[in-house]
Amino acid sequence: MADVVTTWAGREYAASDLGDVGEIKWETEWPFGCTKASWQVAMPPNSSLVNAGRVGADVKLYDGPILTWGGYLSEFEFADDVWTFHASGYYALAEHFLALDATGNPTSIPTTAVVQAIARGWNVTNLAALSASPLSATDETVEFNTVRAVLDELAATLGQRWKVDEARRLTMAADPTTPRWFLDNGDALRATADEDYLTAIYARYVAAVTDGEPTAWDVESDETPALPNLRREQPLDLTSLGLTTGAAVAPDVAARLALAGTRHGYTSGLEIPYGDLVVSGGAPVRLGQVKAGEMLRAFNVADPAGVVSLGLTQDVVIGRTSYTDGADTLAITPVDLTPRSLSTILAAPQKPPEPFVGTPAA
Amino acid sequence: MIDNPQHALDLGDFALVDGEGESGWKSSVHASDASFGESLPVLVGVRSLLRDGMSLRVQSHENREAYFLVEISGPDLAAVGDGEAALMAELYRRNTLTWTPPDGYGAVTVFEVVTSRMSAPLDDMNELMLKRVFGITLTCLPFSRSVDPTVIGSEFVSSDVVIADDCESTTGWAAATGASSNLYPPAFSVDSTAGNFVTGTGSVKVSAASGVPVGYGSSYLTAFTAFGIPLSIDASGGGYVVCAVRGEWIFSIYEAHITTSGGGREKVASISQQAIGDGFVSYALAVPDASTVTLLELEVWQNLNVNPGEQPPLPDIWVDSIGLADASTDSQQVRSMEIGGSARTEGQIAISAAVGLGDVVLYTARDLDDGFRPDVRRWQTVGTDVADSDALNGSHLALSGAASVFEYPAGSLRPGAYAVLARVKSALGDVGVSVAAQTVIGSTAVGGVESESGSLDVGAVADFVVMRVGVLHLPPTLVEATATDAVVRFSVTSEIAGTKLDELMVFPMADAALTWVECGDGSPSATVSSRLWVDGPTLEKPRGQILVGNDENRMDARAVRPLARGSHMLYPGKMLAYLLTSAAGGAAMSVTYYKAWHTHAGS
Repeated sequence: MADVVTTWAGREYAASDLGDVGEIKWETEWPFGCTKASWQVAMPPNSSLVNAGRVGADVKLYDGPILTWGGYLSEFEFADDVWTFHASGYYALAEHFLALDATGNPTSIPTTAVVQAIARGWNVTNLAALSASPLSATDETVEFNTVRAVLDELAATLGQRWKVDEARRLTMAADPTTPRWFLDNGDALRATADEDYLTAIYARYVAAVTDGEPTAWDVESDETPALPNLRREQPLDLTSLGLTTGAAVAPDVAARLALAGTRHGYTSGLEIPYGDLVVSGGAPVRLGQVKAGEMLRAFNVADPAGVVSLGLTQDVVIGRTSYTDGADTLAITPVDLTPRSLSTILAAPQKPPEPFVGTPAA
Repeated sequence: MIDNPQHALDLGDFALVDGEGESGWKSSVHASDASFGESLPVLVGVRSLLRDGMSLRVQSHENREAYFLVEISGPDLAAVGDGEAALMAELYRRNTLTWTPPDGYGAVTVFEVVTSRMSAPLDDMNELMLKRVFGITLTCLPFSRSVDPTVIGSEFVSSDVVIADDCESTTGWAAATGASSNLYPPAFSVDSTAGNFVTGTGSVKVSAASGVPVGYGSSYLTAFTAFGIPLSIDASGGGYVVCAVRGEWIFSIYEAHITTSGGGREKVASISQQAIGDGFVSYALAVPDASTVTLLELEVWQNLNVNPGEQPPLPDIWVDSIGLADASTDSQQVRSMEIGGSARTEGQIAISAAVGLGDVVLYTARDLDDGFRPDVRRWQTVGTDVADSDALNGSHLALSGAASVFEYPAGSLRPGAYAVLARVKSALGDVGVSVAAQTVIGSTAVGGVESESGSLDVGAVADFVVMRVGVLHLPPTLVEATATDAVVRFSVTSEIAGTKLDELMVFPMADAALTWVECGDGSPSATVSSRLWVDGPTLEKPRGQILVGNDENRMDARAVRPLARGSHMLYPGKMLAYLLTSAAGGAAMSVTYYKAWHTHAGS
């Protein structure tokens, strides 16, 4: 049984004290961690908006006694005698904080950007080992970047992903390589797509600068061996990083190739009923406790050609979980989801986040 | 046939059967179309690897609709109009419908009416005969209830047992008559093999001499063995007879009888069953009266969920460590409760002590007879105890450094997710606990490791606090039988220096509820509570309530913000209750509930 606790001005309120609470839902994603939650409270339409329901209140979702989701109250709406509250994860605030140093100048040093954002009010604790080297050619950039752009860029160069979990901890890590959960019901991800499939990256970077203007460019590439007719090449523009060398850029390119994956994307997720998901020793998994960023192993799998092969397993990193309290099923999608259905495409953010813009060296 | 039926059907204050009013109207109910309604279950399909058929689960029950044709007749239609007004006063609101069966022996049943409505069709013949017939539809809660609440008062049983018979000799042990139809004449011997006894030098092994297990030829096998143990235990101060039992298959005590010098032979129920190691489970049976216990008769039931294909040897039973235990004075207590009725219900749980309760963790779940209890430290095998009077266990473990190890019998852990809590303290401000669990068979670890860690900033406080660690899915590798050598090894460390552990608790999360409240410790006052009430949801208070106070009649009760709350559903049959009261030893817990029934109350 889940409970929602909101905190405003240092005081905690339980949603169940306001009225009957229902439809408590939460979602997690990898990257990003806790992303969305919502719950409904039956209060009369003229209830004055109590502090428990104020936009900006810290929200904690408990599954029994266990803290399962954390975020802040972002919106609410009223319809049919029921108030619906929506909360967003703390990761979403990273888009609204600029990457600044202590004096307010834009910075491209990830650790400075995060530490200063926390000092200015980003309600997270940093546990990630963030780099102290600038992402751009210089410490300070001409353009402003958001903290999210800096984190996304740093994660991409390391081949990792970042998240803010339910206890407001910011961490960055690579995709897991060993499965945590095991799917026992003969179901697996079967529909594949090859839009995002790539086997070679060619990156263009600035090799020489004269009087502040780039005058020479070069290419750094990385590839994996491809089956016949399956070689896919993709360009990558790294000129925004400023003056750099092939050796400096090579690890970035390799990391992006690994992250993008020389593997097919999937076009749909899975709906997993209780009892079918177990830990390695067999105990059934409590569905509300599955978080994105963990690896799931399914038995009886389709290979890229779409043929179901007995005896093979499929390891999938969970990209998104969506669960309603008390439900018997959990919806997950993998990290490599290529949206094909209209509803999924529409659900993707309409305005993509600002990418990182570096500054070329003088 | 009953000669003079005395049935009654009352809606609030209105007697539907043989009711009458001042102006002379009388009411009666037509037998045709009368119905208490039916509650339909909400079913959920469970996907599985079954190819044919589908497994279904009952998720909840819908309201039922009772329907009656009520006839009101009178000396004139004005009186009938008065009767209709009296009936209307009981409708369109919350109410109760009480049915008294006709024979005078059947129990009175109460239906909780959520709301109701009435239809009054015009019938010209009835008007001429000075009567009107109304159809009333009552929407009621799915299950009926008994009239009076049932109270389970409770003490808990102490784990200090004064051993009266350590089962080192078989003198006087004899077969006993049992209620079931298949009994295997037992033979008795003393077993001194290491691992087959708990205290002293041996236990008594009860082997069935002959017979064929029930169900031989089907997919399961069951064996019953009934025997009597002569004792001489002075229970003049009350108390509980405690014995340790182990079977070879999945086992439990089917029936127990205690014979006392003052009262004769009485059937008793087990108040608690706890695993104590080596496959043994300790059972506590309440002494029926305060005199000397002379005979303990046990009928042990054993079940094998597979059929080995050929007639197996009948399973043995080992009994050891029979003695007397008093009511508990511990801060951590576990007991079973027998819930009456035939349907699940909610109730009120009241916890009380003489002093402030401290940190209270109340946990209820179904009792699966597997000897489970949530506290893990009693299974400690590695760890240096540092004496500490503030600790529930009398000592604490310093977690930095080598891991402390607890080995918990794997057969007592029902498979699923467990919420892990710990009672810790630190002088340094932050506490942290990391737990890694792995199944160990014999002395070899098998399978994967489940691990979880949690931390908490306790500020400058240096007292013990209860903290959440996280969720572990246990057992890390499933084991089949209850009486098995397998243990789950918990290795507990901390990445935060200075953390001291008093207790680690694991709570199965499915079909269970946990309420955690800080009541304050010391002498009772406005901020320190010696009583805690956890009320389940009712129609009047749909969210239930959690109250603290000091007066037993709730005169000073106030609401409190809990750290965790759950809905303590009471299922008919056995429920397990665990109570942690960090500042009060031997707290009492009483449960008040209405027995719920499908339609007719059984008692």
